[in-house]
Amino acid sequence: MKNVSHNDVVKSLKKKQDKVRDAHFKYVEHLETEAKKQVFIENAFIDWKSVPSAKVQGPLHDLEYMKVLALWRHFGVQGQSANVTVIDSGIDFEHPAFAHTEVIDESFVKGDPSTKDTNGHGTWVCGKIVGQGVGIAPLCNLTSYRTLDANGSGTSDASAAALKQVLADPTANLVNMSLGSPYRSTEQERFINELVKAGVIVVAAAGNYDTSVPFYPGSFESCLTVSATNSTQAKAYFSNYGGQIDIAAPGVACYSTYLNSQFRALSGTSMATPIVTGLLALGVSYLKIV
Amino acid sequence: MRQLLTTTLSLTFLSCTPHRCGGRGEVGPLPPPAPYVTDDNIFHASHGPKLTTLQFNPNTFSVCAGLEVVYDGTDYGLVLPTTPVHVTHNVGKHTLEIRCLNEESETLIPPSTTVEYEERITQ
Repeated sequence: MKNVSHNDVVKSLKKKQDKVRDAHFKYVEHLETEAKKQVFIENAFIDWKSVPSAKVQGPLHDLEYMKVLALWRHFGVQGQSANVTVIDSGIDFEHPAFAHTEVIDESFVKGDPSTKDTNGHGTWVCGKIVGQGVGIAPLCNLTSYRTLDANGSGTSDASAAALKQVLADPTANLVNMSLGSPYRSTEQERFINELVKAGVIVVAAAGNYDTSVPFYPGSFESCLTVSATNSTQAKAYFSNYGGQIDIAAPGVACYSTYLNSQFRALSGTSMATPIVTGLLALGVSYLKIV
Repeated sequence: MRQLLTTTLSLTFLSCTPHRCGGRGEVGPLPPPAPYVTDDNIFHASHGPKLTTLQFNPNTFSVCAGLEVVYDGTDYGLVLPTTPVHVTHNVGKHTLEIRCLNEESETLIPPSTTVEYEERITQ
């Protein structure tokens, strides 16, 4: 049987959605007890177009859409042992949805050592991955690196520094980057390439400008780049598109944690990205512990 | 003088639980619901300084693949029946709606269990 390395998988993740499914299929093929794991992958990356749009309603529609409950129950994982790093605006760790978990956090914002989110974006993203009730992989291990300030702005240097820090962690599995800019940072690209070589999957947002103009880090070859779909499974009107896109996920009116113990429905490729990261965390968890 | 704080719960049963009304596919008249149940029949609440933790009785919700928990009008999301849910701790009257879901995340019949309880602090 052909031995497929993790790096082979990551390389393949650059392709379209069907290629992503194939890559995972191959990845688990070389492992023992393949059959059950193949079923997992097929379930995790369901054909979203096959889900009736009538179901896509209510605050938890994206979890319903992704058949998250069935994944949890059939495969007995909720993200245990998967290590996920979110590079964003930090996290409001006092939110009740994070009470079940311990979050490792650090700030890379120049002159602001606080790791607490004062913008809301990072809390939303972290919640969609690990938040109790709203997250896809609520038992994964979360690291929150704050690189965006209260206005949601940050520098590519801060993101690069955070990526470098992930590189120093040999246990890292996944990085979520629901951020970006039109400007290419060679330093970011170098660290992302090194992370991918080391077997870490870097999941990045495609951007919200309804264009195919490159948006980084999402347009880096090594990233798994996520565009957003709406409730009719079509491209969300704002979502970037083009050859850099690897996979699409729900990104309109998705529900997750927000500042001050609230929950909020937000739209964007920023929202679609942690949905993919959460699903991959379930896959990592399954491959590690089952 | 040392003050002793005691938290008490009183529960009013407003609707049937999935267990009492039967699972999927069961038809026919339902037995009259008991006017009162203890909290442990549906859930147990424990209170910390900032958070209240709701732990659901897995026997009561054994037919449910998952639960959607709405507490004081806020949707706290989707959990397995064995998973505790943390909510913001406030003294006073609360409404807890528990929607029983199948694996497709569809709401089972009966659609939900609603309890009202009052958390009081006495000195």
